[in-house]
Amino acid sequence: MTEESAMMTCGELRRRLGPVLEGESEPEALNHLNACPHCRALADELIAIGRAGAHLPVQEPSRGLWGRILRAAEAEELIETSWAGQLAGRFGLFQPVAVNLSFAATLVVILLAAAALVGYPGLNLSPVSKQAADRIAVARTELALAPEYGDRYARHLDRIEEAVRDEVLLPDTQLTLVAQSNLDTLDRYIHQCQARLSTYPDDEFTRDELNRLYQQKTTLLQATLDPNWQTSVR
Amino acid sequence: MSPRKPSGELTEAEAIQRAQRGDLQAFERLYYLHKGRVYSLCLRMLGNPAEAEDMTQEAFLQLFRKVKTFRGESAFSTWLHRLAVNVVLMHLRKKGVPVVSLEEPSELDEDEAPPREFGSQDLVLAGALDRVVLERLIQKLPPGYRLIFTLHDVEGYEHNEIAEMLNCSIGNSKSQLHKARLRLRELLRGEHRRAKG
Repeated sequence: MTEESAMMTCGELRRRLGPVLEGESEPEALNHLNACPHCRALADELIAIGRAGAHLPVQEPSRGLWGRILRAAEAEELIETSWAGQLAGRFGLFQPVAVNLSFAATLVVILLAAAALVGYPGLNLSPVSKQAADRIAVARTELALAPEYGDRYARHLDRIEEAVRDEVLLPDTQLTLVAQSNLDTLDRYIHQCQARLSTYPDDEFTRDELNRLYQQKTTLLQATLDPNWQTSVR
Repeated sequence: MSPRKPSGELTEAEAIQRAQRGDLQAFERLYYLHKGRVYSLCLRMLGNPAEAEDMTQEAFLQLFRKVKTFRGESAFSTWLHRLAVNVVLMHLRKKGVPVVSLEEPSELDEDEAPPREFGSQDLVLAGALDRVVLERLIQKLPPGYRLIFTLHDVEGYEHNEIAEMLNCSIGNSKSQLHKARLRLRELLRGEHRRAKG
């Protein structure tokens, strides 16, 4: 088929093709398309390109984006943050979440060491709760026997944390702030690992990281309850 | 790795309801459900990964601010994507980037009209319409073409919606889309020729 064989030339057709492909009725153009294989091929290609657009692969943002969104939301006070979290943020204790999750472990160790080195006079800690200590023993056993990293274990630790905060930590002390800040940091990373595993359940790196974070939280809670640790901090 | 929904995980509807009450975990669930598509949308509209992440962040902050206004009149993904589109368009306007060509629809210029290619191989039949390649070539489009192609062919907006968003005529939207597809076809043919050596 050539330009001469149709009423509308190929050049004219190609100039009007856009509206035709978008559904505008142009009988002359349609007649030409039916008669001209070259223009028909062009139209088919453009239609195929348009259709392919609807099935493009999904791209993923970087892993740290959720952390950045959280920090921006906190800064704008769009979400509630704990008083300790706010304090820690003010002093720059929360690092960008994009960094490797193992940062949490380093942070805990550094803060605990700093607290021990500086010391806080005048603390009047309440006696260690035997009940809370027992719960930690149960948590440790559970983690060893059934490391399934599910909500159940996280809830268990959260209950212990609540008890520890109620029973041991005092308000308005630097020690409380340090311990609270550490727990908040750990909770945040635990939460991130859980969220990632819900999307990528086969991510072994995150699974190991979550296990390590649970262990660290248990250790931190136990240390907070330990009279020797309290004495050394004091 | 295929994502699977563990038992006890919030459904989207539950997450929306809880997010409307300020539940952070529900926001996180919505983020994980939609981050890929929102980021992809921003990336295709902007053509720059860093800017796309910034705009994805802004889109989810808008979600924090506006989730209470979601009434379920459209699908949540439609609502969220529109939020993201508006964020990107606002960003482009602030940067002073014209989001669409100011020219009114006209017949294609002679030099933009595709030449007749007797004997050229059909792209579709030749298998050159690789979606990964197409994704890469979209980034090579001029900003206005990229925007229209993304909004219409990728996101599925109608020309009247695009015209409203971009403050242009429906005819202009159609014309720009046609030119964008022609440019993509040209780029795909170039890729195909290079691949064949």
